[in-house]
This record gives sequence, structure tokens and C-alpha cells, in this order.
Amino acid sequence: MILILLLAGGLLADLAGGETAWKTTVWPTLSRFCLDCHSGDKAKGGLDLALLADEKQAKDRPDLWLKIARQLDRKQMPPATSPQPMDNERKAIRTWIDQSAHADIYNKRIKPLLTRYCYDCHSPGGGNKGGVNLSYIETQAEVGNLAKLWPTVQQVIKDNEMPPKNRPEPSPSERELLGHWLTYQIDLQQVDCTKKTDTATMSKAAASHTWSRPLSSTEYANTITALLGVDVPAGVLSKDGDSSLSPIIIDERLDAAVLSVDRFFAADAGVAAKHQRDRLINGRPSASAAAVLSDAARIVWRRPAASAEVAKAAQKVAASAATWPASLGDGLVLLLMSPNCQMLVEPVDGRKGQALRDPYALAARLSYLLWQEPPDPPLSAAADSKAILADDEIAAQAARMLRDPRSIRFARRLARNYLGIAVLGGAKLPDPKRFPQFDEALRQSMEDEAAHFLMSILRDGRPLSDLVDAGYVWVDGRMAKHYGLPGVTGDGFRKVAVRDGQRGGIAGLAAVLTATSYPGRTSVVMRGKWLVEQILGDDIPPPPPNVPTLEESAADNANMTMRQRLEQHRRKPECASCHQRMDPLGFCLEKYDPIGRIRTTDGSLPIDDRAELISGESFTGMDGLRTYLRSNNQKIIDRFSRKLLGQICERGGIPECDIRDLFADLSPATTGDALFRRIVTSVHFRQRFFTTDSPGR
Amino acid sequence: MPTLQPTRRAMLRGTFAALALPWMESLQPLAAGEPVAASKPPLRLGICYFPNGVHPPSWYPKATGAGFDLPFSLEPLAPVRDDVLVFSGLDKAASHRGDGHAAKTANVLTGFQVSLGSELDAGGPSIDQAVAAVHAGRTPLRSLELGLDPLYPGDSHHLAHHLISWQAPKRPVMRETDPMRAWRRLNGSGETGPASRAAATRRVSLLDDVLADAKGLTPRLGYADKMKLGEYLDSVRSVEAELAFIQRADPREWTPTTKPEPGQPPPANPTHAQQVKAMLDLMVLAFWTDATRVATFMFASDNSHRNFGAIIPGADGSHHEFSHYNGEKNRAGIFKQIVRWQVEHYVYLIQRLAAIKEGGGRLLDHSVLLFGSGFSDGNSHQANNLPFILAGRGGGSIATGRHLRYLDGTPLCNLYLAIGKQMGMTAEKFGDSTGPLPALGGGEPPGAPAPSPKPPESKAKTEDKPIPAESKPKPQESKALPTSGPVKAATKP
Repeated sequence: MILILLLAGGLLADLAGGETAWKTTVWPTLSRFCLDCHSGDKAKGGLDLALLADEKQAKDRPDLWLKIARQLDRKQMPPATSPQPMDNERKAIRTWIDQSAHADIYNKRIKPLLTRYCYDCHSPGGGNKGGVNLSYIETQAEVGNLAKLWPTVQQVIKDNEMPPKNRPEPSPSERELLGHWLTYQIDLQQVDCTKKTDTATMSKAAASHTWSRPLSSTEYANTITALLGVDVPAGVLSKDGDSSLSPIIIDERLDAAVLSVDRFFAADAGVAAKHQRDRLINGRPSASAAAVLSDAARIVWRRPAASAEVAKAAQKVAASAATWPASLGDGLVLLLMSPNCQMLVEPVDGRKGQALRDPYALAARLSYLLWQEPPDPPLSAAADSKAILADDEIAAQAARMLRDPRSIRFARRLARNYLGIAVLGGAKLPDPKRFPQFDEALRQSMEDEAAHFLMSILRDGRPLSDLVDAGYVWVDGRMAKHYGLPGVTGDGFRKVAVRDGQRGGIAGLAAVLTATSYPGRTSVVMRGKWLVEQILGDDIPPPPPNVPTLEESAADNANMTMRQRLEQHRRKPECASCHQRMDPLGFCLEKYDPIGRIRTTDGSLPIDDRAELISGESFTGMDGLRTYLRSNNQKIIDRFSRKLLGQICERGGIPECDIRDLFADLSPATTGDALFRRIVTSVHFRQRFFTTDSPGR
Repeated sequence: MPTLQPTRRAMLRGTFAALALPWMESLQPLAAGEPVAASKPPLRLGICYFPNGVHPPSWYPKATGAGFDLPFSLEPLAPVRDDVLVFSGLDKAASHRGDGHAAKTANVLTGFQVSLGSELDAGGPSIDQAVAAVHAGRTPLRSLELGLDPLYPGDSHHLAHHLISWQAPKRPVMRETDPMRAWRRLNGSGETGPASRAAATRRVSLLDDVLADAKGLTPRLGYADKMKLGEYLDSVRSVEAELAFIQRADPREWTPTTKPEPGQPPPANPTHAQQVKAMLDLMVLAFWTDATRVATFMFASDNSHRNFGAIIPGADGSHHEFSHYNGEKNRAGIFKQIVRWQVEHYVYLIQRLAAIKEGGGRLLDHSVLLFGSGFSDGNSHQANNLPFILAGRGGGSIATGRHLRYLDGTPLCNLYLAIGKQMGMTAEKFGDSTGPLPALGGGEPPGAPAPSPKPPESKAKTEDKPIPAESKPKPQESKALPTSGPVKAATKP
């Protein structure tokens, strides 16, 4: 039945416009843009498109079209240096390929290969080896049913694992055809959002992505402080690292709990500790140990504890040789060492497919996300009353928490993640001889500037277009001095209007400009790469092997300017396609020195911050770059939104189509708080599980 | 017997305190009067796993027996060739089928089929854990698992790349992946803790209650979460066991006769080479002080995409991508250098253990150090003819200095069984073993061709410089690659 419909569909398409499309658009476009190189005996890549002039013949070469479709989709062809077809022309070709040449490529070309080389083992008759039954796919229409399997099939064929050594081998051309087809299928799966997935259906693979993650050292220390009003002594806990829970971590966490609890009962523990002692113990003289422990568990387990759950802790108190309230000590340590405290627990409770987090887990996630500590009383109340499950309430709580200075903890992580400036804290430091003013304090101020800037967009109702074009900066005294802004002193960060066009927006952040420089000089390539990859979200492949780096090739040309060297580098065809995208943008930032200050010369050379794009478009300096970025605002906003989504939901792997749905109507005018609200109220933040369209793991 | 000390870390300091002989004596055998029976060194088992297989032409020697040649990736073995056995023909039949790397990594030490269903199942315990079970309670640490790639939660397929050590079919042993953390685990580093036996008892009791409380939580979690909780609880158990260990009389019959130099912590921002060395140093330290008798180290998780560009010229790119060299000379050239780099570090481990004297011999003589990967050819992932090397004399039971070529299909588990029996395992079968691997103590593998004559060139080996214990800047390190003429000549007997 499906088959008949398909055939009929194909026929209709032909009658309705397939022939016409070929004649009016497809073939003329191909001839105009491709035949120069791809025709005749010397056709490049052995691809002679002239053979396809007749539509009937063209349809009969689905193998070639697989290659062409992919090149078109990725805009790898025509080469960037050649004239480009319009987007609607590309689209017309793709539509024709899908509807005509590929209409039954599966039956004609692919299935025979699978039958010959795979079905022996991977069919019910062959025992479905490895649990794989490829013969299950009868028609093209069913190919998508095995979407999750195709990447694996592609991999084992590419790795020469399949077919096994003792089996007939496909010829190189058959292998190539299969490879192209699989790539094509996988690409197709990744962009086809027309088939909606049922988010209530939880696959095993999806469920396994959910995890009750352990608290980081910082989060654990803040949790202890929230309970006891005592700071964990310095040096007891190691720095935040991966999520490992090795014995040494357990050991130090036990130390931290024991030392802090002992301190909590000391008379000189401080005001905050006294406040917590009063709140939990002294203020309610009739409370039993179990009642105190339950209240404590409510804080550090982020949920009410059943009395049975604190029974062990209560026994500890009863058995203690110490006097009240110090006898509570070991009971409190036990609560802190419980996995209920050490991990953000996401219980399944046997309700597979139950997608939404309970109010307590949701409040805990929000609180550790923004403040790296357990929910405060207002947020806890919203969890107790279940009010937090309502969109308006969780959005209001999030907005309230963003206004609290503790949110800088979130914003710092966002800045490192979104702007890629984490390197600044690590191995990448400016040359101390040339830049003695760059010290740890300046580094921290640079990072905090970036954090405050991003946070202000999310918090203060600023439009997302501020990312590239803000007209203000957030500076403290140190950054103001660094930027030469008068009138700002001291430690606090504040918003300051800038009018000269050199700052205001991510590209003018000293943190970024420093992180994308070498210790002793700026790097046009690194800055360009940062803009293309980190901000515009495009992939730059690693350089091909055996290409000399710029430094090596420069040795012979010591007297050339950076621009000349790069231009020489770009003349190599294998370098050109990437460098012609990165370098011009990087040049625009040449007016900023390796620690992000404005400069007027580069050593003895004048600043050269002109950019010429391959399209012929040219512009100069930060103003020009800003104009260029503004025209790409949609991409920039998309990239930022995805990073923000990943950070808030603490995971990747959210189905591509869901992301597109979520961000479908974002525009440069969308405000940061609206975006933030959209993410924290989305099912991706609220649910424990998620389904995934993405293949493989 | 060490002094009783309260915290686990102080306890480990105590372990070293027990060895607190004056340094001048440390390289001498203990003075007469020490009970001879009490000072027989125990056997140690160290296993180094490297990912992504090998480039076969650069790995397998052509000649067998004592006159074996050293192809490119094995050239670094030259200075220690008398202390190693190179194997050919060992096979892991359970990995002949199954996808990619996962089905070949998780079972590299179990020999059973890996099941990648909703829960990862390695089929049985791994050889290191089977041996650790024999020695459980005799040393402060049951075993030591080291790696360099942190483990992130994921499905069974993902986890299978990272885990080689199994207490039970579905119960992996997690690795320590941070050199500094691992170092601190073995070295008390001056932290203060409550200094009384009562404090230790308090801690053991607290941890005991943590374990009891956690039981209620486990059934409520999904698979990946259970794994994470399991890691937490295993660590709690380890700390508890280590604390409990020092509360009773030291059961160790062996008292090390030399003591380590005061250890330096690993550097703060280590290079990859420094990380590898730091982990290997910790294995040495653990064996030396008898903190444990079983240790594993993963150079990287399998399917590793580590970029060796900073170490090997031209190796910018992914280790895994280079391993699929697809017959391309350049890529194979890089790949065999990456393998060789790992062999160099295995040699570093061998040389460190060879330099430590104990019980009238070398620590190396009382050790079995395996070095191997989950499949042979990195390009095609076969699980037969696995690239494995053994170093150490196994207490005199192993006649090293040979290349042993076994008949195709000889189970790798036969090697494990032979080693396990040496180390006290009583079982007659391990994994898919068919019997203990013959010829380890001498003689030829059954059915093997006659050994090749020994090439005279092998005398030149002493010229090769070992990798120094301290880290060196990169350029010097690449110079240390033994590429000198005489060694090259050994490859063409």
C-alpha cells in the first residue's frame, strides 16, 4: 500500500513539475555552475556531469546524485572561489534529486548490496547476528525506521570491520556507493523535523542519559555552609574537577563534614553559625533530635525526609557520648555524607516514561544551576507547595535568583562555556615581560566583566542583539583603567555607556581578545576562528596533515607582514577554504593588543584592520565587524541560545528538532529574560529523561 | 607492623613509616636476623592497557625465541629485552563479533562476550580482580585502578570503552583518573585529621551507616544513575576498608626491604607525558610499599581521540583516526609512532621496577607486568593475534627474553590463567581458557616453528637511554627516542 502511494506520488510529482523543474532550473543551474570543471575527459574528480544532460539518464545515476546532494547541502561545491548558485536554485536541485533520482534508490541500488553482503548474517534466516536485522527494511519509505542503526553500519563498513574477513567483499565502487548513501541517510535524519517524535516514549538509550550527578566540591562546600553557617576550611576539598567520586574525594568530603560540624558547635564559630544554631536547635527547645535532623535533611537533601530516612542519624545522636546539642554532630555528618546530599538524585521510582521532575528535584536543579547551593527558603516553599511546577512561578523564581549577586557563579560558567575563555585561567597567559600588568586580579576582572555582561542581557530585559552591539560595558575600577574609561574606581561592577564604538559587545571583551592571542602577539587566525566557530557556530575542520604551520612557513619570509604571510598561506588551495573565512574577520580586531587594549601601532608597523571577504564585501575594524556580525545576528543568537540551553539543562543530546522548535521565533529583538524563561520553563529543563533523534550514543 | 594511626591518609603515611629505615640502608638487603620466611616478597600484577590496537608490521617480530627482532613500535624494548616476553597468536574469541571498540575493550581482561544491552555486562570478573580477590585484606588497598580519561555517565556502549576492571560481570571497578588525586590517595600529604583511634572508629562507623542508608536509594534509580551511586558507595567502602585495615594488626607477611624516596606530587598542569609517568610512578610506589599487589592502568580509554601533536611531529589529529590508516603510508607512520610512544612508557615502568631492590633481587623479578590492547590491527579491529607483552620474572616462574609464537587461536585467557595460578588463584579455568599457557617458564610453545637464531646486533642495547624519571621538556623527550643505528639494525636480522 505504501509502495503504491509512493509510486503514485513520484508519478504525480513528475507530471506536476518534475520535468519542468529539470528543464527550467535544475539542468540550467548545473550547466552554469558546474560544467566548467565537471565535464569531458578532464572532468574534475572524475565526475562528468555532461553525461547527465538527459533527464532519463540523469535519473539513472542515483550514486552520483548522492555525492552531489551532499556537496550542495554543505555548500562545498561550487568552490568558494567560483560563482555561486542562489539558495532557491540549490533547493530546486535538491528537490529534484529527492523526488526523481532518488525516488527508489534503495530498491534499485542499495538493497541488492545489502542482500549480497549483509543478509547472510543480518536477517532472520542468518540469525540476526549481533541483534541486527537489515532485511527488515523492505522499501525506501522504511529506511528511516533504522535511523539509529545507520551510523553504526557506516562505521563498521568504513572501519573494514564488515563484512567480516571470511565473507565476500564489496568492490570499491560498491563500498563507495554504500558509503555515500549512508552518509546521505544520516544527514537526512539529522535535518528532517517533519516526523515529530513522541516525547512520552522513553527509549533505553535516552533513559541512560539521565544521571543523578554528584555535587562538585564548590557545591558541596556551599551546601555545608547553607546548613551550618560555617565555611569549610580552605584546602580540605580539592578543586572542582570531573564528576569522579574516587575514595580520595570521599575521604576529603568526610573530613569537610566532620571538621565543619565540629566547628558548628564551637562558641566562636561566628554569626552565621549562631544564626543556623538558633534556627535549627536553640530557637525550638522542645524539638527532638529527629525533628532537628529532619529539618537539616530538608536543607541538604533538598526535599523532606521520611522519618525512617533519618532514623540512623537519630540513633547516632542517641548513642553519642556528647551533650546536647553537640551530640547532634555525627547525625549531621551522616546527613551530609548520604548520597541524598552528595548527589542530585533523580529517582525513577519505577515509573518509566514519567518525564517531569518532581518539584524538589526541579528546585534543586535550579538552585545549583544558578547559585551552586541548595534552595533558599522562598524556593523551598515553592517546591513544598508545588507552585514551582507552574511556568510563571519557576520563571519568577529564576528571575529573582538571577537578580541575586550569587548568580555570578552561573554567569562565570556561562562566560567560560559560551565565549571559550576558560583557557585564560589555565595554560594561556600573556607574556609577563611584555604585559606585567596582567595578573590574577586582572584575569579575574576580565572574566567577571564577561560574566556580568552576559548576565545583564539575561536579567535586565536587554535584547539579544546586545551580544554584538551593546553601547555599554560592565566594568569595575580595574577594567575601566584597562579600557581607559574615566570615573570608575573600586571593586564593584557597574554598567557604563561607551560611545566610541570600540567596546560594547562580545568581540570587544578583553577576556576574549586575550584568550585568542598568543602570549606575545595577537593572532588573526585565532580571533577569526573564534568568531567563526565560537560565535557564528560554524565548523572549521582541523588543518590537513603535512601542511606547514604559519610559523614554519614564515621562517623564510621574515620580512613579510602578517597579512602578506597569511595571504601566501591562503594561496595553498588546501588552506584557502578555511582561512578565507577566518582571517578577514580576525583582521578586524587587529586594533586590540594581546591583552585587549586599543593600540595604534603593532610594534613599528601601522595597524592594518581591513577585511576583504571572498564575496568581495569589505569592511574595516570593529565598526565593520559589528556590521558584519549584525547581518549574521540570527546565527549568533542561535549559537548563544544553544549554549545556554545546554548549560541550563546540563546536557547535550537534546533532539535537534526540539531545539529548532524551542528557538523557532527568536530574533535579535528577543530579550534575554524571555529566552531564559523559555528555557527554564521548557520540557528539557523540567524532565529527567529525554528522547533523542540523534543516532548512536 | 606500622604504628596505628587514625585517618586513612595518616595510615598510608604509616605504611611508609614502617619502611622508615635510614636512607643509606635502603638499597641494602635487611640486616641478618630478619626472619627469612617473613621477607619473601609477594608477587605483583600490573596491567597496562593501550587503546586502538597496533600497526601490525611495526609490532610483531618476525623471529621467535631469544633472537627476536624489534620492529619499529617495539624498538624501545631494546634495553629491557631480556626482561620481556613478546606474544603472538593469542586470541580473544569472544570479541570476534560485536561492534567497534566497545565489544573488545570491556572484556579485554575477562575474556567473555560483552553484552551491550541496557546494562553493560563483561561476562565475568577480570583477571586483575580475580587475583585481587585472592589477596583481599592482606594489603591496605585491594587493588589500584588508574586511567587518564574521566568517565562520564552514558549508556552501556559508551561505558564499555572505559572499563576493563570488573569485580563481577555487571560491576566495574572505577578508575582514578586524576594524577594528583591518585597521588594523594597513596601519599598522605600533610593534611591534618583527628589523631586518635577513637576518631578512626568514629569514621568507620559513620561510613558504615552511609552504606546502610544508601541501600534504600539504589532501587529507585535508573541504570546510569545506579552506576554513579555504585561508584560513590564503592569509594565509601574502600575508605572504610582502608580505615579498618589499620585498626587491626598488619596482616602483611612481607616487609619491604627498601624505602621510596620522599615523593613529589605530580606537576600542577601536567603534559600528557607527565600524566602517564605520574600514574606509572604511583603503580611503582604501590607495589614497592606493598600498598596493593594488583594495579591496572589505561593509557587512554578505547576509541581514544587524543591528539599527539605536541608529542609526535605531524601527529596533529585524532589517535583513533590515525589508527584507521587504511593503507595510507603517512597515517600508518604516525600511528606506529603513537604505539611506540606508549611502549616507551611501558619500558619506563619496567626500568623503574628493575631499579628497585627487594628481597635479594629486583622488584621486577617479583612482578608480572602486562601491556596490551583489545584488538590487534587498529585499522580492522581483529581480536586475534592480540598485541601483548609481559615483563618480569613472576617470582622466577617466567623465563623472559623471548618472543613466543603460539598457534593461532590460543586463548589469551590461558595467559591469564597461568598468571592467576602463579598468584594464588585456585580455579582451573578463567574466561574461555583451555589450560594454563605453556612455555612461559621455558621451552617452545606447542606446534610452534623452531626459534630463530639470535642476531648479534642485540648487544648494542645498552646505549639506549631510558626515559628519565623526572619530566623533561618536549624537544629533549623526542630526542630520547631510541632511533640510533644499532637498534635499527636489530630489526633486520
